[in-house]
Amino acid sequence: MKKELPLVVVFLTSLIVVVAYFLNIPSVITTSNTLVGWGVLVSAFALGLAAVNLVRVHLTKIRKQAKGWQFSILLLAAMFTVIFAGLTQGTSSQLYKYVFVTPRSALGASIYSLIGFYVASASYRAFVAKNIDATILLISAIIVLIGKTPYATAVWNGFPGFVDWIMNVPNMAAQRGIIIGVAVGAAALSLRIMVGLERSSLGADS
Amino acid sequence: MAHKLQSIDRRIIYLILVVVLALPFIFPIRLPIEVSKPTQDAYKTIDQLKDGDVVVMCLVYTPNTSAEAHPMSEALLTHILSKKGVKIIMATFTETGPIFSRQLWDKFGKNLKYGEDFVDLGFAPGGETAVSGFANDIHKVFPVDVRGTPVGQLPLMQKVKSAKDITLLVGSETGNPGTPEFIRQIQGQHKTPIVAGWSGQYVPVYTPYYNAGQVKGFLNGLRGAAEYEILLGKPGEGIGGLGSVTAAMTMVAILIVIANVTYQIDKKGKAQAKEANQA
Repeated sequence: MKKELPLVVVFLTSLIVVVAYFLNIPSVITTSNTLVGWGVLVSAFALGLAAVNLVRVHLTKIRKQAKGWQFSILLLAAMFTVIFAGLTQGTSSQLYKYVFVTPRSALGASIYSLIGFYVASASYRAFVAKNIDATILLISAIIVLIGKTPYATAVWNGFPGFVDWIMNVPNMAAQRGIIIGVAVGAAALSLRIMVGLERSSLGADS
Repeated sequence: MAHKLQSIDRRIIYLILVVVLALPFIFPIRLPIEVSKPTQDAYKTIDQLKDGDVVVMCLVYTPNTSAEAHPMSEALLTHILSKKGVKIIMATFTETGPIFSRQLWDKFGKNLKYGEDFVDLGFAPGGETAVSGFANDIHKVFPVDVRGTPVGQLPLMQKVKSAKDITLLVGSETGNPGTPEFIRQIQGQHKTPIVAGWSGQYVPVYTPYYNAGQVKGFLNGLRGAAEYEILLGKPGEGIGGLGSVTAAMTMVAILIVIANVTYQIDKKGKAQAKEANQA
């Protein structure tokens, strides 16, 4: 029963949502909307659960003084400061804006921008024409890189047209293949979950 | 020499990049910006909005990627607000979205009446499930707005119940749920037109949706924002940051060329040395 009941719930709910998507049956659509609404509630609950789990994991780390436990203190302090600011002052308050936007934006943008430095360094070290495939990739990349800059037409008039061709023909063909492949794969996996053939979501021993 | 150049200290590359990125901010350069077709199409679609039309704007980005996405949001919102009588609803499926929508309203919404001209619904968790729920019943997914007011009490929301009541969906995105989810759950089912601002890394991935006509037009990151600002005749953060991005792209292209030239010279040198040793 522990395994069968979730499988029945999964089958029935997914069937209602799929039928509501393809067929215009008012009662099924209403039920589907209710189920989707529950899905949003479950997601919201999962956010709360994740926060509780985060606190639990980092408190254990601090108690055991595991490697990097000082960062855990910082994490929990930041987390509770934001929660405190949001709950007591409201999310429109200056305090909330300050604690969330000011440090978070600056730190987030800094961390993200580091990728640019790695890309610059990696492109110098790894992007080398060692074989014919790498050479084609390399030439395409340089054309697109230069072709997307505002001065491209000053270098060569044909740059934008050539870039458009690369993006709209070889790139498009590859991307469409990937999109269709992923969609077929997702449909197959969904069907397997729906009929209970894929049971990894029920636990490791299922 | 070629071998030395190949094994150059990465800190030197970092230093050059810092200089290259900083210089255009210190000495702004005027770049000849040509407006691309997807940007023109996005502009045309928004320009056709009429009095009473309802636009939903979804901000799907975090502080990490806001430097690229927020200028797109500002450019698109500036244009939407220039259309008389167009109503705007902000809804986001990323937890940091409401922060950015508030920044936009603080900047642009001073002369607008909340609840009638615009509404900020805040954030709904659940990814594509929430998008699906939004498409079919907005009031169920967003029972209250970002201020805690029940959405049924807001005059604008009394007329807008589902995606069928939306004239245009505008996404400013650097992540999920974004254009693919909007197409699957909103455009595919309700034929709601979509205009999007995509982070540069998503453009090659999402372009098939534009070519298929599922997305009416799109902005390509900071470059797209700059192009849109040109069309609006209002220079902003897009044009301001484009010099830096262009300089960095050029530097990466030059680095790739240098790396390959030195690699070929080094390879040739090694082959010649090997031949000499064998002789």
